[in-house]
Amino acid sequence: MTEDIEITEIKDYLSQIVPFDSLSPETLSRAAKGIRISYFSSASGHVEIDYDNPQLYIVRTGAFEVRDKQGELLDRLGEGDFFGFPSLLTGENVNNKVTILEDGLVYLIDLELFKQLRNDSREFDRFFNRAHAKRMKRFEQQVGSSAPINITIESLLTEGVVSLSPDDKIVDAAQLMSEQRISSLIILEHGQLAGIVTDRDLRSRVLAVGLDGQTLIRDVMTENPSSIDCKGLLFEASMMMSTHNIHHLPVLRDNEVVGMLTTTDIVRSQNNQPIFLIGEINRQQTLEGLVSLSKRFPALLQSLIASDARAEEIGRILTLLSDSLTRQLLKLGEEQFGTPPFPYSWIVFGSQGRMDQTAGSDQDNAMILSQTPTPEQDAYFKLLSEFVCHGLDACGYIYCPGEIMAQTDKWRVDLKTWQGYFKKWVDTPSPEALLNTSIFFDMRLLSGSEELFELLQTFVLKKTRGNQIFIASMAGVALSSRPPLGFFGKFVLDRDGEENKALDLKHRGVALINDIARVYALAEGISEVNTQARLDKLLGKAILSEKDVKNLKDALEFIGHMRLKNQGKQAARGKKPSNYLKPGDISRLLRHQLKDAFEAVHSAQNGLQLKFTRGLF
Amino acid sequence: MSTNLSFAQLNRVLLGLKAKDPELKRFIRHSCDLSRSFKHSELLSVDLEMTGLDPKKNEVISMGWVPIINGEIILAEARQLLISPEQGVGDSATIHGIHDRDLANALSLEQGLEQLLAAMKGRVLVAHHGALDISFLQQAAQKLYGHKLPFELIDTLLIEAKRLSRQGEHFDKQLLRLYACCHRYGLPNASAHNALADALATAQLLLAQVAAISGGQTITLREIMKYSH
Repeated sequence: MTEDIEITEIKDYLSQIVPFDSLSPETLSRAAKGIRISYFSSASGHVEIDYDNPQLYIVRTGAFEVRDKQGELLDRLGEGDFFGFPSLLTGENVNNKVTILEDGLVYLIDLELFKQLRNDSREFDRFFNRAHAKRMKRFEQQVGSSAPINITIESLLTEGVVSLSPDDKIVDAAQLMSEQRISSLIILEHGQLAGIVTDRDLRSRVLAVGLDGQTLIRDVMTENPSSIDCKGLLFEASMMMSTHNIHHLPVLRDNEVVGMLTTTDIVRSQNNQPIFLIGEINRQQTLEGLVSLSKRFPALLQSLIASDARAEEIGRILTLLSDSLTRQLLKLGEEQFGTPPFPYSWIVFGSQGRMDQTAGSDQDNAMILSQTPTPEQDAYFKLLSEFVCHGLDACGYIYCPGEIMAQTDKWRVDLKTWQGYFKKWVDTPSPEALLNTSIFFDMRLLSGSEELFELLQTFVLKKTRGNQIFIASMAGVALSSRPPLGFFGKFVLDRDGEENKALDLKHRGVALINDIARVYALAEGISEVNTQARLDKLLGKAILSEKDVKNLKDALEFIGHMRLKNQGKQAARGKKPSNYLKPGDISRLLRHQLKDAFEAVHSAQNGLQLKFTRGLF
Repeated sequence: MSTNLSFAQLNRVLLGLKAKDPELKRFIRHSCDLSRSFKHSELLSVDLEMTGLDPKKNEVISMGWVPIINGEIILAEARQLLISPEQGVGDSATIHGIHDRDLANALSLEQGLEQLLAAMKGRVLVAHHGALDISFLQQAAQKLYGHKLPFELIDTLLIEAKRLSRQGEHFDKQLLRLYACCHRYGLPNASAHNALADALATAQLLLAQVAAISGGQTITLREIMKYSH
């Protein structure tokens, strides 16, 4: 009686969470019995992890946050989430920091038990390998790459088995391979995978050692080769191939061979990657070519969202694509209309300037001319800019509704005229006028003369830095909209286009943070225009505390991430991506975190008001 | 550290002299070091199910326990025993769901108590409204061994009562029920009236209370006990 005591509550709980639901009833009981329960209090700050004794931590109640050594956010965890698995899987000290956001009860599973559970269920094993891959991928993205990590082998494999038996001759193998134009064969015995033969085997195990074509396949094949299930991840396959230094991997479904995965397949799968697309853009010689490439951007965006890339990273990648498109259009235009009569700068504003473009961003661009043009010279620049703006529109970057484009005569002028514009905005500011001109202060050089651009930028920053009246006016603009939080921390909902009540994550979220960062950057004469970069530059400045800067950075990433995830879901349902999120569509933990993020925006706005507006507005 | 014997220690010495059974002697002499920190000590969360509330008339029918070692609840050492009562279960089955027919493999009270004491040796007893559980255990000890036993008790109900009254609120007794206390800390729902489930819920409650009392600092068993009187 005492021996088969089970704590049913724990077992029932485990049986409901992925991947424990895949365990057999006996193993589930073993798991429940082997658990230790710990309680973490937010007062103690973070979870002390004992790397000599790695554990799987299962969050039962409470909320936690995982950050890497550099303090970058890797994961936010609530009920039913896990941490600690990277150390369990790799046996290494991972040195992530787990902060306790809300007190909580955590179930612990030690290495020995974790191993038993992984052995019991392939599903369980794969779940944690994937979770680990996902974390790894985030890490990789931070250092600049973005591998398509959660693509399954199934989705990529061309199914079909070209096979022979071990008792066939090598000459048959060679003939079959050249007929089918393939580099390897699957060898089946009684319908089961017995081995593989590759073209390299024909070279090194047959010809090089003087065997002839009559040799049996059995004598030269690789017996019991490594194989992988079709439900596995491409990432796992590519790990396996590089670990064992092999180029061919038989793929199984229910233990039957369904195809062969090769390194070429993996390389080909990278083709939808940004780097590849940018390379393609630079090779296009016609507008039509560019337009057809741009049709692949939405799929790329979807895959980036699906792979949980950071919002900042996605914004940067989308901007790199539109930057490349613009540069290629300028190049094609100059080829068509001839060399420009004198140097110019092509500059971009707004989201492209800040490098945080999303799906459906419009175009905001202009030209700085190095000389005052004659009518003929201006005709050239007009033609060129119309070509580029039209091309961008055709590629999905619609014409700017406010006409802020180089093809508009007003925004295609010499340096002196540009300086005049900024002088007027800065010297006689009014919040109403600034509402429409604030995007000009997020400007970036995209192509052409660096010198011209720098002259303008230096001029602007010199005028804004420490300019109390102007900064106060800009602060007024930044305060004209508030985050969607009411009394008692309740969400305040706006109506979206379809008359549903929802949160506007752009205008009441990310845009507010962009506005706040812009005010501080201009006040401090910071030349960066990307909001995260502006915030980074503000670290250590007296004007804003380190805590406020970090909270704003986190809030921007979190709200941006929620916005992208939501747009990904909308796109998957065939809807037009919007900025509206229904709070009911997300989990309690996420709602809680979203409120925290809006709180951070709210408190930063209050700080801004105190510092700059002195009750002017 | 005091050089004089405390009342509790003196009690143990005297009871140790009375005890005849060597295992019982060991239990009695194995005192708990209350100056140890919670994170470096051993406790045993216990819950008893009875046929009623009067230790003189009613009987223990089930025991459940789970240890808390170095601040962690160890499920591998959780136990639940059914005890066969001398007078039958009677009407109390409606509360704990244990019927006479379930008691075929049940232990005698003596066997049950022996196992419980073995698990409790050197450990501080944790219970919710522990006075009741202890009165039943003392009644059993008196009957079986002819004398009482020394227990060090941390009572999660008393801790909660103190915490609530410190917050200056006048509170209803209902707020001190195990279920209500667990709910207050956002802990998983305790299924009431199953000895082991309640012992586990009590253990989790204590973890949450200790976190709240200590504010993340080191806290000794003695300091926790101060809250539970």
